[in-house]
Amino acid sequence: MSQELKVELEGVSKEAIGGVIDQEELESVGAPPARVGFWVFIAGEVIILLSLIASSIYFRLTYPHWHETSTFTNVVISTINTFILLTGSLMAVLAHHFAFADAWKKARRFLLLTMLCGLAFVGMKTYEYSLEIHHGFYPNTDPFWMFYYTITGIHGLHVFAGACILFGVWLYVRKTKSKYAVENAALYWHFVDLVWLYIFPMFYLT
Amino acid sequence: MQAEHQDHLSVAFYVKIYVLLLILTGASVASSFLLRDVVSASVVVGLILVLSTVKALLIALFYMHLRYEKIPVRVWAYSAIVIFIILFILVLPDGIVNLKR
Repeated sequence: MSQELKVELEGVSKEAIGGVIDQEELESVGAPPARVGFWVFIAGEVIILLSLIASSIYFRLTYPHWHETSTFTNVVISTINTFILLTGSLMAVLAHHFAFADAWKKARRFLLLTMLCGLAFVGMKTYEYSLEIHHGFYPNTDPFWMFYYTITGIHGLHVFAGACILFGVWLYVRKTKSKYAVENAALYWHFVDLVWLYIFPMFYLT
Repeated sequence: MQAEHQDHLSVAFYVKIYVLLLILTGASVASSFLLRDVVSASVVVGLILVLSTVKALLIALFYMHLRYEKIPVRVWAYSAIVIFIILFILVLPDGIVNLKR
């Protein structure tokens, strides 16, 4: 390998490792890779969660006691949780808005508020589970409770992961001021909110 | 999100969407209780699912900014829904057979 080519390749690899690719420059020619990559991730997650929801719909159609069992779920707590998630979505979109406006103090404040919404949701959900278990409803009680615990449990884990991600991004942007990190954290939050919009009526309202 | 759309997506706009989401959630909860004895269960389920879809669209289009995204992002976002619909249709005959038993 010639010396010139070697130097050139070393330069390229250093650039790649150093993450010199400017996301803003790429914004002018197309969507930045960080955003496209995150949407690929969200697409995968959507398929997993919607497939679970679809399989529960089949059980709902074939299991005759689904409706009467669903009346034992707690509508008040779940409505409060819906309010918390929607409020979190507003906080997340405001964090994104202020990050892109370079108002980092406000952006970080709203990131923290979104994270608190996530923790409040997980706290309420844990309390709700404790009430249901206290009343003798376990995952092996019947198909309704099996799907209920599986789907709401997976969703709850996603909300908790979202809260951890938001905290991580809150720390990360203090120095880096990376608006794409804020954007992706907000996108993740909206995704968990969006899934809940279908879980809520499925197990609590119908 | 494309830069030219940054300006008109103000804080007030996001708050309006939030209020609309809360109203739609209230409508979902109210209809599940008030319409239960008035119309059939399938009508109530259908109505609530429509309301949920409207809420999901509001979040996807305005909070996730899909309305203002470029083609590569939109393709990925909609591909998940398309793949899900294909999966759903593939197992649909099995569900129908189970229903008829």
